[in-house]
Amino acid sequence: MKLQLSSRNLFTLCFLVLLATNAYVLTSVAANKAGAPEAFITLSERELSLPYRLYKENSGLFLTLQWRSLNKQEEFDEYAYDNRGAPAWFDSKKLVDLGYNNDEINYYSSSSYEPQKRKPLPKEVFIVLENNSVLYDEALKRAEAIVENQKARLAKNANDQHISNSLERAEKQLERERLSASRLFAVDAGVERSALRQQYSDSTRFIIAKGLIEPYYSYNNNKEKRKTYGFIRELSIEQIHIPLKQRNLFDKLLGQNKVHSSDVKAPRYQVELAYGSRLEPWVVSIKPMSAK
Amino acid sequence: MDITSKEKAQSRADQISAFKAELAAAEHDAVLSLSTEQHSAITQYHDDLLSRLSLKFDIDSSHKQKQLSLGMKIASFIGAIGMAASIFFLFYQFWGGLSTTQQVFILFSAPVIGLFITVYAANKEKTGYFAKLFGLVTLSCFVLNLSMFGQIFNISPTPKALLIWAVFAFLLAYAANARLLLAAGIISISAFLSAQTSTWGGAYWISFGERPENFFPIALLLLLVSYLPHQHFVGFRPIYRVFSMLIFFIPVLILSNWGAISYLNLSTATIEILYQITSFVMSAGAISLGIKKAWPDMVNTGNVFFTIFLYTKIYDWWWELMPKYLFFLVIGLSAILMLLIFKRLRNAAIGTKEEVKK
Repeated sequence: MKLQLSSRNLFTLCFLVLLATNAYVLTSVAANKAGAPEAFITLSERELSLPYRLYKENSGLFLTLQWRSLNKQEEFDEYAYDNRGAPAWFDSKKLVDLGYNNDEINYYSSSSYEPQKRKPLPKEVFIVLENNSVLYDEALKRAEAIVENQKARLAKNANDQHISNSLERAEKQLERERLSASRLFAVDAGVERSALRQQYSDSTRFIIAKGLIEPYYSYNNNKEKRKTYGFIRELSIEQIHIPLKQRNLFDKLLGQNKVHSSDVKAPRYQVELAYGSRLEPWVVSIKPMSAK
Repeated sequence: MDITSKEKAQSRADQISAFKAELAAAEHDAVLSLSTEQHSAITQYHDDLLSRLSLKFDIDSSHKQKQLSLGMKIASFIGAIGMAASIFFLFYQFWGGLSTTQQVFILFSAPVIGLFITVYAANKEKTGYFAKLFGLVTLSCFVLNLSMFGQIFNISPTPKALLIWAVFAFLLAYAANARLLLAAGIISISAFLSAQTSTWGGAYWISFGERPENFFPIALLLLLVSYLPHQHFVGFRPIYRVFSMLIFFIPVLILSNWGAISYLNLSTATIEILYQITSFVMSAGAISLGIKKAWPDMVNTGNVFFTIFLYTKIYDWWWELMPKYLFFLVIGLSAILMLLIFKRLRNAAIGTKEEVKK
């Protein structure tokens, strides 16, 4: 009889846990959206892309936040000038500011290797993303410079098929940069959100989002020359859910002729995205964009 | 009748069954002969006792019943896993066509309905198989509830969800007397505590697996919990013990081969040697403690890990050096050696019993 009573109490507690958890989560969602948004930004298909394919057994729809970084000028080449996670500003000093110690930072450099050093683990910090800024202009200039460079090389070696192919790729890359590549760039990172917001106060241009960082190294066969830098592994929220009432346009686009992922296409929609007090985003509105 | 748990009731029923078989054998060999009155008195006593135990604890009073019970356990387990998976896939298949309000309503209602069905099944059916089945389905619905809220509202991933699932699984496990739910609770709480330790160390919580030492305090905690009285909950203490050992020995196995991910401020080679010694000492210790306390679960788990540690080392030392026939011969000989050691331990245990009898 005592066991029966005890079971009943435990089941009641289960129900209360269910109730309290759901209430807490839904209240947190409401709190995130309450008041003025932390950021309110207009992005296009360039920065919020549709999935490449739909899954037969998952009917949900998410847009993926496409963000980028710009490498140091000397590191860029035909392939690597926009290595997504390794921005030029993210050096070892910045890693110290974000909480890594010297042992962790030097873990990958062989000159200071000691057997008791431990592989550094990723940390979650605040990442500042800027939309359509000078960094995008710089990326465009670099893509143009690569085309010019390849053209100059081809002029000297007119029959070189390899250079000809490189030029073709560079031109495609430039076209992609002009029309479809994301203009959302990671510009800074920090551990104090308020300080970052003070520094990047325009909430229609700068997003502050949580993201994972870790020390990494620039690959070099000569281990002595390996240099540690900071790397943004991913944002904590990169997939933005699209509710049923906002799906119409996307369902139409997904139903149209398939576009190959490598094809360059102009953006077809514009999205107003808001970030709340808990840095959790939601889609405010969606508008179609006419093809230019 | 001072029997207070199903475990004790089942043990008493087994004892009666053994007594009946032994009495029949002794009578057949003319060692013993009971009068008809004595026979019927004993039979009456046992039948009454078994009927009361069956009524109160739903025990298996015959070998056939035991076999059927095992079949029911397996069916209940497969049913629970199948239904849990089905609910996940059902929701994923159709959720895109539902409004946010409908999604929230369904995700909240599913575990609540599951919970009410579990309570109903627990009250209606003594064996508890249906309550356990629906209990696991309810937990799956609750996992779906929170994980889908995370996706629908773009919520940052947090280890707190693991804590909530653990609390819910533990409550449900004790309410429905279900070991599978207890195991789910243990796994969730271990992941949460380990993630929390990782966060205190300044790392992101999902990296908790990259510092296996985070799991050691949890293993100790589980072992301590296994000492708490659990007379109403059949098989809970072995579950705590086995998971305590899994949570201790798996990290030890990893660290004994990959010292670079340890917290210890020593060279990786030293760390690996340290953990190799720990692995042998602790697994042998577990076997010894298991024999002493008559805990077959601990003996078996200790045996498995001792064997894994031994063969991992044999592989490290000799795979490259020896021709394959010699390598496998060493494996075979080491197994024979272990067999001899276990035989000696067994004989020693029998000897101790006989001394006690004298």
